Amino acid sequence: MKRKIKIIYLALLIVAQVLLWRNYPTFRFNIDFLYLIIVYLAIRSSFLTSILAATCLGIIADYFSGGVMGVFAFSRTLTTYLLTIASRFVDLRKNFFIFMMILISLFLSNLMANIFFYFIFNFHITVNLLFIQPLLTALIGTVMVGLNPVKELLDVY
Amino acid sequence: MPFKQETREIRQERKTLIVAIILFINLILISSQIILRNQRSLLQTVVGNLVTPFQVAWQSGSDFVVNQWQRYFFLRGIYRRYQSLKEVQTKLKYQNFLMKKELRDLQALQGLTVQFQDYLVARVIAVDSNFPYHVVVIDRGSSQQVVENQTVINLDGDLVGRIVKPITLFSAAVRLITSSIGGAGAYLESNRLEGFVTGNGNASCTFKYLLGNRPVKVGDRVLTSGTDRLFPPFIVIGQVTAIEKDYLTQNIQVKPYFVDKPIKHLIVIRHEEKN
Repeated sequence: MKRKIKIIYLALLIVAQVLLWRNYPTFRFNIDFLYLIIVYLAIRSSFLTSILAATCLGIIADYFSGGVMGVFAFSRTLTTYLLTIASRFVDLRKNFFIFMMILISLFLSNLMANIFFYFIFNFHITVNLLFIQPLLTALIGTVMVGLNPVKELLDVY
Repeated sequence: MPFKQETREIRQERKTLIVAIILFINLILISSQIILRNQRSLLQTVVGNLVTPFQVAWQSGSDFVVNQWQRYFFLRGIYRRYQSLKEVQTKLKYQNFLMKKELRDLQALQGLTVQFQDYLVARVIAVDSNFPYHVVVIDRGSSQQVVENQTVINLDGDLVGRIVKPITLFSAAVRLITSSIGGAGAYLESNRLEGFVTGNGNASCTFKYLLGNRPVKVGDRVLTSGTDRLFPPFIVIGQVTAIEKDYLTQNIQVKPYFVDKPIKHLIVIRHEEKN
């Protein structure tokens, strides 16, 4: 039962992100629900699953963001690798650490993507990508995971 | 502390390797979309630059092998072909030599035909070994209307001498112009100065009676002048080899052309020249 709820939960996040991309392309760099899935998988799943999932979700992000294929896949994969290491040393029972982990990791991930976008492909999306998206995503992620019933449901501890 | 439920533990080195592979694949994907100034993607350029040297090396290597292979097949049996061609070449050279000789003889005879109306080809049958520059005997005699004082030349048209006695039915003696007896009226081709050529009994003659102040050069040709009424004019005798100044005249040494050529066949001019 828990497993089905988890799957539905993650699927809803994907749908929410896709809907955001398709219906509100202006805000496509303001929040990243897919990154919440990546973070969750990095915390809870095995290494290989989380890395492959990060790559796949990164490619989906590339496709919908209208950018260059491979940029988000690269940055998300690398960030996931770091997350799998960092998650061992972070106390996920405290929401502050969850918030900071999402914020910093997404910032770093987007910084890397931004390097590709700005310096190689000359795309100017710096502010949204570097600051607004990590902040909003971290806030929403903390809210979505931070509640105790949700934590129990998703086995975040 | 948080914990992850790893069903199957992967070693850290392997994890790093997996991530590196995935990141590398992503980089390839990205580089395929970076367009350079040459209108080709970064991936195409990099791959091209990496692969081209190997392609060139492969092509060069295969060309080399193919060429050597073809060369090997070409060279097989080349020695035998070389030998056969050499044999053919030797035969052709010999044929060429024979044909040249024949052509030369024909041209000489044709020239004689133009210059002289009636002539006779004779073969030398005897030479006096004690006086080789004096008299030779030919195989034509009075039966072929050979008479005394007829002019004798070689196949190249150079003056050799004249018919002297004894004359038999089938042989006659030829006194060479190198003989110390007799001589021939002659002139220098370069300045048409006339004189008299007489033999020295060796391979040379002397051009006499030319005044000392007349210009003569070594190498000038000497021809018969016809003033002696023995030899027809304009027959080539030889060339000047040395000049010695005397009190009034010059002592000019002339080397006849015929002494350096084979003397097996001679031509007897039976009548005077046509022109």
